[in-house]
Formats: sequence, structure tokens, C-alpha cells
Amino acid sequence: MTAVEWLTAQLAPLVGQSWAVLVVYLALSAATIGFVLAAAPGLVWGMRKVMGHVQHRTGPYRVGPFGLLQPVADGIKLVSKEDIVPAGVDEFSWKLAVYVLPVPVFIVFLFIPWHPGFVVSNVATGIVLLLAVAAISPVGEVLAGWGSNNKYSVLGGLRAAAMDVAYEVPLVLAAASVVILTGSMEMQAIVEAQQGVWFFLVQPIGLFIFLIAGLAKIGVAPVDLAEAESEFVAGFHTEYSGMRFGLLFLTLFANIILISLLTSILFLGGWQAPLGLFDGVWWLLAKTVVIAVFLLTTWFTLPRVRVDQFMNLGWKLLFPLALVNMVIAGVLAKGGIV
Amino acid sequence: MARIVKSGSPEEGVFLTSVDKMLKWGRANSLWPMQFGLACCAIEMMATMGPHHDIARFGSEVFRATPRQADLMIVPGTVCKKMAPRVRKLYDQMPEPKYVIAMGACASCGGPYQNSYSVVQGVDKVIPVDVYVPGCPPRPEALLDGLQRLQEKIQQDPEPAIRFAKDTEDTEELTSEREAKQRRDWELGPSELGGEPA
Amino acid sequence: MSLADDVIDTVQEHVIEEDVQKDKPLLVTDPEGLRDVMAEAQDAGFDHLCFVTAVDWPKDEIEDNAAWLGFTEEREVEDPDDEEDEDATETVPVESKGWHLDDVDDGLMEVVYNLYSYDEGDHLAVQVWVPREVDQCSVPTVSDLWAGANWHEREVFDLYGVTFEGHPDMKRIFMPEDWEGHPHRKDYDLGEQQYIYREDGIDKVTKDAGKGW
Repeated sequence: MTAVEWLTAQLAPLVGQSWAVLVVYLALSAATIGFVLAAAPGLVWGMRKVMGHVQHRTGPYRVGPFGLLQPVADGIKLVSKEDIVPAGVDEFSWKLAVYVLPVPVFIVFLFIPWHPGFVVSNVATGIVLLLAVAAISPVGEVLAGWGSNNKYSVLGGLRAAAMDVAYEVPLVLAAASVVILTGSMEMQAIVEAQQGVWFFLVQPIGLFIFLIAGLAKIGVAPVDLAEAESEFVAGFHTEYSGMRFGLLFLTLFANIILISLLTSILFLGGWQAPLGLFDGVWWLLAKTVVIAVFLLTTWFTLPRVRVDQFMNLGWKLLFPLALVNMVIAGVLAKGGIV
Repeated sequence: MARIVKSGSPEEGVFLTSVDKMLKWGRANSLWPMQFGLACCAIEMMATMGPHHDIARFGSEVFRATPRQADLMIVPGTVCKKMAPRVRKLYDQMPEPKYVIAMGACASCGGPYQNSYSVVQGVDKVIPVDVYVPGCPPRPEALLDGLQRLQEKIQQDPEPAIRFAKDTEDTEELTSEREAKQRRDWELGPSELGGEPA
Repeated sequence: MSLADDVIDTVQEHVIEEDVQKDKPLLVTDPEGLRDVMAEAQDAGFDHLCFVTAVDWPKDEIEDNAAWLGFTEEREVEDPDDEEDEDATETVPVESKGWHLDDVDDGLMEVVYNLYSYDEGDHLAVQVWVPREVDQCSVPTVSDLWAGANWHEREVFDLYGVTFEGHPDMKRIFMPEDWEGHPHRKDYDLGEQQYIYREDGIDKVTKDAGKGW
């Protein structure tokens, strides 16, 4: 019996079955999204500290203990900034974009298997649905870029969309290899299939592809081509100020959390413990933090690549490599090795 | 929030006072500067971002490339007459509340370019300045001192809520009001702002 | 033998003065010979035009520095009136840079081209001296020889008022189009400030301090 079923069963005698399902799902969704909303500012603090130490600095430490209140100050400031709607923007699409971008990213956290038997929404096609919902972002990027009435925004939005589309392919193919090995698209099943051996041992190429494609999806240096200052100011969010920009900023960090979580789940065994020690959500979070710190270190270490080089890498190297990797996964699965 | 509640008005109460404190604290500790440089002072500004001086300690390492997301305009260097309209435009594109540090002798008063055909004699002729940092160019320590003085100034802002504005008319009114206030600050001198002259 | 010597030998008829002993060999020519000299220099291997600049010499400054510039020369007096003072000298005007001091009305403008050869590492400075009055102050362009000369020449035009004949786009590069005067000229009036403001997407000049900056 999963956690959701158990909660529903407890509540059903009090309010009736259908109300219980509704209440439990709403409460768990709110809790999950609330957790991510709280974790993203935490990651902002972590990002600034990691950035500091990678660059031989200390990072923020004046605001609160260890600078922990820095994201709070940022939040207060962003909320209280003047809300500028520039002249000439297409108000509908411009305002819509800041919801189109974050909402799918927050929704997909409902498909994440946090703990043995605990997925808020345990659909049978979990990983495919997750990647499909997360793939809405190019729409938001183009909306933001086009709506801004600013040439830098248009170019940035189109480039962001092009990158997202290009790297969605290897990302999905790397995830598909894992699905082939598992024989199921259910998120919980993918984690359980790694009981014996975590997939990064049999799918090192898949992990490599997934991390690079994930970095492209997040869109930070070395692949922050969509907001390259030297090329187009700040890309599609050039014209956003105050909390509208704050939402886009949150999306970035929610994306980092998402990619780290997915990497942990698909390749590092999710909530499974090494050596069978106390399986649970703590292992998933620990693995996520390790991957997130790895991504942040990459972000602050490497210089920006050129756009044509990066697009070549995606279409000409990662895409064929992902196909080869799928064949390897098929052979492994057919041979009963995993 | 289009409506402006002024301090001292009957509408203000304990709640608004606390909100005021929170706003001032948030703004003072999250000053995101705009990423632009005009002359050699910009090199010192970059050194201030570097590991030795580390402006990140005060939460100000987030240099934004677009004025829409910046709170603080550090004017690092000589403001040419030709650059002045652009500086003004960038300043106008920043959302309220916005602050300005004039970094170095050129931005403060023209510096070595006194009576030059091409140099504006101080960026305060173009935009209202909150803090002047002397030096040619100032050392990173001096810029950090200027930043901290600006933080003190924001913490002592008597009317933080006045910086809320939505309509264009309001913004214009507020900008002029704010400039008047800054002139007053300037006339009062640094002692009124709780500090010795730098 | 350096490239500079090659050039000077080849265009001997245009060379007014030369000094190859310096770190940077110097060649003074006249506006008529400039294009021949520069084309020859480029053929000889000076593939890089470092920069073009000018020096403004009003008449009184030329007179103050006449000896140094070579417009006058100290000579021993051949028949001294006073027999006892045998070492007496007199100052005699001589021709220099293609000019005689008496022919100079308002002053002279010295236009300097600095050339460099990447292969040989050689330098060459080419000077042309022209009258400094704005309507006569003109030299032929070299922007067809070195494309980089285009903006250098516009800069010299903007700041010194030297017109480059044959230049494809002879207009100001730094100051707005309607700026009065050429600021690096020594007689430019700094007392009367001009201010810049933006209108319809272009820079305009005003003398009203309240209108521009």
C-alpha cells in the first residue's frame, strides 16, 4: 500500500472516498511544490556560496548566519521593486510567459518518487509524462522573447528554444535507455529496478549525455548561450524586472533541482541506499545535493562555449551517441545482464 | 501598489512601520549592481568582485547585465558628454528603488578633466547620486566603504514606501521628489547620515 | 638595410627631409607626394598602419620653437660690425618641412602616419605639413591602401579639422555632426561649452546647459 492510498484510506471514513482523494492529492501537491519553492531559494544561497568557494572567495556572510538570509533579502527586494511594463510589449504573452515557464517545472515534481512507496502522482507513464511536461519551456521562452518588443529578447528567446529542442532529444533518449533496462516507465519501478546495480555502472554514456543535456536545459554557463551578456544583454528576460524576473530566477533553480533529482533517480538509484543501509528520501536528497554541487561547480568553472559548437555537439555527437547507448541498453536488457 | 502611504500620515501604523523596516533591510542587503564600466575605475570595480575584496560578502556580487534587474548603478569612470544621455536612459530604465554610487573623481566632479570640452563635470549633473567615492581610481576598499555607506543610508530612509509607484505620473512625481530629497541629504552632509566624511 | 631605407631610396623625389638614425625612421613629404610615398611603403612591406594623428602648430608656437623645428638656423656672422666679438652669431630663417617661415600665415598642421611591418618589425613615420586654416588644411586619403585608415582619418578630421581628399565618408566620428569647432586645435575655445542631448535617435548639440549634458 502506497502512502497516498494509506492517507486516503484514513480520511475516507470521515469525508467520503472522493473528497478524501481530492484533499489528499491537493495537500500532497501543495506540500511538494511548497518544498521546491522553499528549496529553490536555499539553492540560491548554496549557489552563491559554492560560486564563492570555487572562485576562492567566501560568498555572502554578512546577512544572517553564514549569509543564510541572503535569499530572503533578495526576495523582499524583488517583491518590493517597481513593476515595469515596458512600452510596446505584447502584454498578454509577455505576462503569460512568466507563468508558462515556471509552472510545468513545478508540476513535474509531483511525479518524483521521493521515498519507497511515496509518489504523489504515480502514473504508469511517469518518466515520459515528466519529460513531456518539462518540455513546454521553449513555448514560454519564445513567448517571453517575442512579447518583450526587444530585439535582444527575441534573439535570446529563439536561441533558448533552439537549444532546448536540440537537447531535449538526447535527454529523452538517455532516459529511454533507462526505460529499456527497466522495462517500465513508472518512476517507482525505475528506482526499484536498480536494487542490484545502479544504472550509472551499466549506463555511463547515458549519465554523461543526461548531465550535458540537463545542463543545456538549465541554461547556465558554460552553456548560458540564451542569456549571454556579450551577445544579447540578458536574453529573453531582458525586459523583466522585480518579481516577474524573480519567478524566472526561481525557475532556473527549480530546473537545477529537477535535473539533479532526475539524474539521481535514473542513474544513481534514487532513494536506494548503498550497501542496503536505510533506504529513504534522505539518500535521494543527498545524491541530489551531490549532483547539484557538481552542476554548480561546472557552472562556475568553465567559460561559455560558442553557440555553433554547442549545437554541433548536440546534433552531431550526443544524438548518435544516445542512439548507440540505446542499442547497448537493449543488448544488456535482452541478454538479461541487468 | 499605486497608492502611496506617506510616513506620519494617520494611515500608518505599527504594521506599516514593521513593513518599512523589513523593506529597508531587504533593499540594503540585496543591492544588485548594473554591469557596466566607463573607464579605468571599472577595473577597480572588477577587482572588488574578485577574491581578495569580494563584494559578494555584502550580497552585491549579482551584477545584472540589464538595467531592468539592477538596483544600484555604480558609475565607474569618466562620463563623456556623449555618454551622458545613455547613462540617463539606463538610469531611467532601472526600476525604483534605485541607487547611484559615483565612483572616482571623474564621476564625482569631472576630476582630472576639469573644464574639458567632452566630459560632464560630475555624473550628478545627469542623475541623482547617493554616494560619492573619491579616488582616482578609488581602491576596492573605498568602493566597499561607499557600498556600506549606501546600505546605512537605505537603512535610515525615512520613507521607504514612497518608492512604490506604478503609474507614469507617479513615477515622475516620485523621481522629482526623490531628487529633492537627495539634494537635501547632500546639503545636510554626511554627519546627518550617521557617519564621518569618508 | 631596413625597409625604411628602401622606401626613402625609391621615392627620393618626394622626400623633403629624412632621419633614419632614429628608432623610428622619419620621412617628411609634401601632400602631392604623399600617395606615392604611402603606396611605395605598402609595397615595400609596411603592411600595418598603426595610426594617423596630427599636431597643431599655430604661428606663434612655430616661432617659439623655430630653431628646434629647423625653421631658423644659427650662423656665424660673416662680417661682424664689432671686430672683437668673433663668435657672434645671427639667426637666419631657412626652409624646413617644405615651408619657409615667411610663407606661413596662420600656422601649420603636421599630419603623421605611423607604419609598421609585421614581418620585419620595422617602423616608419611619415609626416606631411599643410597650412592650418580649415579650408586649406587637406591631404589625400590613404584609406584605399589601408582600410584601417578610414576611421583614423575621420578621427583626425573630427578633432583637428584636417580634410582627407578622396575619403569615402569624410564626416565626424566622435562628436555630433553639428558640433562647432575641432576640439584638439590649440585655438579651440574651452570657455564656451557645448552640450549634447538626444533627439529622434541622434545626438544633437546645444549651448544651453539646461538642455543637454
